Amino acid sequence: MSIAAQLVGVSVRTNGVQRLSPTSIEIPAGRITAVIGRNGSGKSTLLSLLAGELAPDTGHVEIDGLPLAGLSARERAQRRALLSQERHVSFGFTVENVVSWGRVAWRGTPRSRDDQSIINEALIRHDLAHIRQRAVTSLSGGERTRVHLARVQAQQSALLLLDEADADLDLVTRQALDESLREHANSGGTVIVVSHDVARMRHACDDVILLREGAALMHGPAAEALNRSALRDAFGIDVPWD
Amino acid sequence: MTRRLPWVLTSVILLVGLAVVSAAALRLGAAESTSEIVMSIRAPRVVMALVVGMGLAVAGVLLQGSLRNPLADPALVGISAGAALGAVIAAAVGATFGTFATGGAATVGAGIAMVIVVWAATRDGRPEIVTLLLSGVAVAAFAAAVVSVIVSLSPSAGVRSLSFWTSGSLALATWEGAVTVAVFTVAGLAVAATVVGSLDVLALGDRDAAAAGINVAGVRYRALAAVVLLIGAGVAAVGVIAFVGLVVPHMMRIIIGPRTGPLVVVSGLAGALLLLIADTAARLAFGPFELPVGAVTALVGAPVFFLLLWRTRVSQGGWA
Repeated sequence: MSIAAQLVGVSVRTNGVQRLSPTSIEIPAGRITAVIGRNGSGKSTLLSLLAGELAPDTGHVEIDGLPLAGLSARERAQRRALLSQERHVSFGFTVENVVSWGRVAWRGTPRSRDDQSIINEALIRHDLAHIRQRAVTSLSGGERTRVHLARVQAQQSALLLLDEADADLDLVTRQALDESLREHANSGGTVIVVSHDVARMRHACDDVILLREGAALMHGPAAEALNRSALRDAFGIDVPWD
Repeated sequence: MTRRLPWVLTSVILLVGLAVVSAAALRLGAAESTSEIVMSIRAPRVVMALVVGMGLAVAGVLLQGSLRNPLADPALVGISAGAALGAVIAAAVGATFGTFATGGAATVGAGIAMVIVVWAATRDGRPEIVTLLLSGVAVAAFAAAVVSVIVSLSPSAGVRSLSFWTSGSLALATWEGAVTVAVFTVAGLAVAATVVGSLDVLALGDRDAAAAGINVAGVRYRALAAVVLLIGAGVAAVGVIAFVGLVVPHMMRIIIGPRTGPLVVVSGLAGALLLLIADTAARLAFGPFELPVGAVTALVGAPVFFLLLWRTRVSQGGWA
């Protein structure tokens, strides 16, 4: 099994608080990994490290076997995409404008030749083709989410990071999100999800990293990691299922 | 569907407008249109209106795009006041207005004001707009106070006669001044050209733009550097003219959409046209008396700013 991303002896301390104790994690390619834990357990820290937004105090982060610290913003974006909670776009850019920004990482490379067909494909895949000329500011919440999903798909990075991107989504949009994540993993890509929806993650992901107070309690297949006793360790309460 | 006009067509319309208004501005006036008056008085004034108007409008596009806010204007955030202070200091030590010396000093002043305002408003790596506008008020008030102290104490009549500065006027435009401003404007446009392709993506917010592959800080600071180059020399030559940088990009965004590249071209042309119309009106409306063109643009621009403020507040549900 190939490794999509890894943390090697990484620890993070900000403002005197230990956000992440020294941790080494290997994230397998072609799978969906959920990062689960309470607020403040280090989930967002872990994701920011993988995104390259946060530099570790010790250790280093690798994507595709390359140290993240040595890559430019563009080179990082060619390897990993991020879907955050942010849905707001300033000014009335069209749906197609926003989706086309998924391609800026490939500007000036041979792969930019296919920009328009990749954008069209993403628009069709996320059911946006009929509203491609609409201003994003005029769209509903669900439509906006699909715009950003299409943008991230157009970026064509093997590693896809989601930072609580499923918060505030209705059932239909959430299902569409899960489907496109599964598609990404099935086609060889890797997905890392930070989510509070533990019940859904049992079915939507393959592997789980369980965090508590900045330390990984467990990392393994969802069926094993999301059992009663492990969740009691992580959350300190009993979950209503086993 | 959002209805928008193609930007090339819009540019052509604006170019035709520029040709017509320029021709009219060269012919109209209290004095007879001798070739002497046209070439040495009206022509430099027309060219000055065009380059200053273009610089103001393009600076507005870059400022609004890089700060993600439609309310930003070089005068409102204190940059123009910084430029005025730089120019007045240079003039107080002997430089002449409308030259490279005052233009350069004004550019330095604009740069210092920009650094202060952006530094004061930046939190967690991104500038916050309310603090930015308020810091702009403070910087502008301070710079204006220092300007008036220098002017009051100055023995030089050259500095003293510059009360036009407070409202902005093109009446004293010279060929040398127009060429100076044009040189700085070209430099500003050259810097702007390196970021127009990336500036759009900042609309996602800093985090998502960086994840998409944009060097956010690099793009933002280059855009702000271009603003400084576009504003400084113009202020040194004609004083502070507010609201052109606010109103023009906003109107053009409604007509052609928000993409930065086309918006820079169309706003540049529209800014040139607007300032030329405003200056020609200021010159002719109450002849033989002349109005300061800054007063004309503020009479139109201030109500528009108010409207924008109100609409922005409604759309985001308050400032706090």
